[in-house]
Amino acid sequence: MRVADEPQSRDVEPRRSAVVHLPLSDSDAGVVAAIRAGERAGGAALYDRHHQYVRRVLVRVLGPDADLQDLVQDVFVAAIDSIDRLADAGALRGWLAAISVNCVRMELRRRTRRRIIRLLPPSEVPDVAVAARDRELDAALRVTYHVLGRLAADERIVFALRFIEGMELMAIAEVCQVSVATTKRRLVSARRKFINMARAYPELVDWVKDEAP
Amino acid sequence: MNDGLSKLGRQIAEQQDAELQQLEPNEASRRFLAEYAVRRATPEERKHAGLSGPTLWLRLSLAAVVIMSAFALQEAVFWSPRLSYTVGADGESGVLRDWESAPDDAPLPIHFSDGTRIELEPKARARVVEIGRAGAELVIESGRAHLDVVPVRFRVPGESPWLVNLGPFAVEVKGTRFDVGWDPREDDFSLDLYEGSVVVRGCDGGRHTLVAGQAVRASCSDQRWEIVPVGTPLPPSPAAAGALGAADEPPALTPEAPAQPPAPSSAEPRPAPPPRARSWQALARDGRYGPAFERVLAIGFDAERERSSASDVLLLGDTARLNGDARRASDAYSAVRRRFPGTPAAARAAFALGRLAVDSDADAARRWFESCLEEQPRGPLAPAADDWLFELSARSSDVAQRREAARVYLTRHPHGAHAADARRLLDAARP
Repeated sequence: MRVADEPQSRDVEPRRSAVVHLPLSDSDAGVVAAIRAGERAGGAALYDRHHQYVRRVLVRVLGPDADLQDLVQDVFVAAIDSIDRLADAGALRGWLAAISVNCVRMELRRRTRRRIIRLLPPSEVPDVAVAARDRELDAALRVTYHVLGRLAADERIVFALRFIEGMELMAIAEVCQVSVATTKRRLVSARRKFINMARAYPELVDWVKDEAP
Repeated sequence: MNDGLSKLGRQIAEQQDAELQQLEPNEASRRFLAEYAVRRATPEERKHAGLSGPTLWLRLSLAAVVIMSAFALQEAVFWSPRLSYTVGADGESGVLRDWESAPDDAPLPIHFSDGTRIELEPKARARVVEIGRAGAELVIESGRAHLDVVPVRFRVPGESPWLVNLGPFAVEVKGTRFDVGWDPREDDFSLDLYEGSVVVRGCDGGRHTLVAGQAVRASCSDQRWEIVPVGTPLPPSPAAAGALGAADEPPALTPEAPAQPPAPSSAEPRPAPPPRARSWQALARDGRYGPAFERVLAIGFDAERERSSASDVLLLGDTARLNGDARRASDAYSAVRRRFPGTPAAARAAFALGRLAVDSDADAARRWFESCLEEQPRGPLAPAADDWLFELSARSSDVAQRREAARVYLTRHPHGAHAADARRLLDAARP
């Protein structure tokens, strides 16, 4: 934990008191309390503890994306802004997932509106590490997100969380803040559309050939 | 039943996880969030955030009034026409997405129907890429411009307000007067704000609010972000000035400055500049095309073009193209086609060559897009190639050709980006 391991860091040093007022080191509750108290270390600790998780949720839905870093920061800004509405500090991680999904949904809708002016489709953004680990899989990944880009934002989100992140329906419903029935309905629709579209792409056809639409 | 999809998803997740593990935390974001947590908790911020204020009922009543007002306004706005604009002193109608270049010795005015005025300084290049009912989006490729934006009184649902893109920077505008400039070769961004406020998105991932009297001098490659009084000249190059030369300067923020940028504040020592040993590929992938281009020119553009992998040569072409060097960009894309024929990279190079030719040689552009489609008819760029083919045909003066292009486009992409335009074209042809 960065804040705990580096007591001399700039984040905590300016406070000259010998007493550490808030236990920031190992608990989400401490982080939440610190943010509510306006402690600088709270914002940094929130990022340190959860940036990888937030990034993961975003990348599952968006795929390789040039704006990922911006979105990660947007998620944390939204979280800090609404930290007083978090009733159970122990649920911080799930709450961040819900905020991430919200942010990504808004971003996807914004992009849909602006798609007509895009010079290149999202799958062609050239800042993605495409080292030759597995070219076929790399192509499948790109085309998967190209196809997902044609789904509605809500359907794309449930599809990515279910099939790529591997979340259960109830967990998806929770982070999407909808009922399980709605989640299931969106998932069925997203899956059907994805399979139908994926069959047109050689990169995906083997993956979906045995799937019933 | 879902085995194939689940396996695909797992493989994708594993690949993503491997990439995520290699990513370092973003120090700029971390620092920004640390400051943001403090700012949020100050009494003024809490007041703005609504954490202290009227009772619940009063809040609900106010919210109801606001919602009803907004709804009424939205209805009015919904029926209002989109903005239009003219270019030049003669008031020639502007064409969306056409490049507008100011002459070498005179400015070029652009007037919008809401009263907003933009003046491109000599040699500046820009284009309007999107236009709405209450704003527009511009790309300034290079040079300086003066903008006098009429205040936006309402936000139209589904539309962006005024937005100006300059390389990796974006300026969100509500109503204000400012000068802004971008030099892609030097990687220098500057903005002088005379009235109102703007939000600038920089390459550090942060959103910085500026108020009247403030100016920004920034560069991604130098990780430089300086807020100075309006009119301050651009700083000399970092090498001449010394990377830490400005660290001791007091901040030039006006007292009412609402927000601090996430860059190092005056209260804290500015961190030492990071080592500058990144490859041109890494710089380009970060969107820092100016420094990337400089670096690759220094080590030898032609040699890189001939020895790099297909994806790197494509990136090389993109880097040259985004630095305005069409010849080198064309060389790089052509090298991909010569060295890696029949591959997806070659098809993408054909697409890029088409993009290069769009404004100068429509026939050549059409041929390149058709090559892209022939080589990768189901590739990820196929829809975009079809979009461009439709756009090129739509520019034609031959009515029959336009209709045929619309028919073909709708057959291939009934829900594509230009489907509505294509339908309009066909409908207009019906008796």
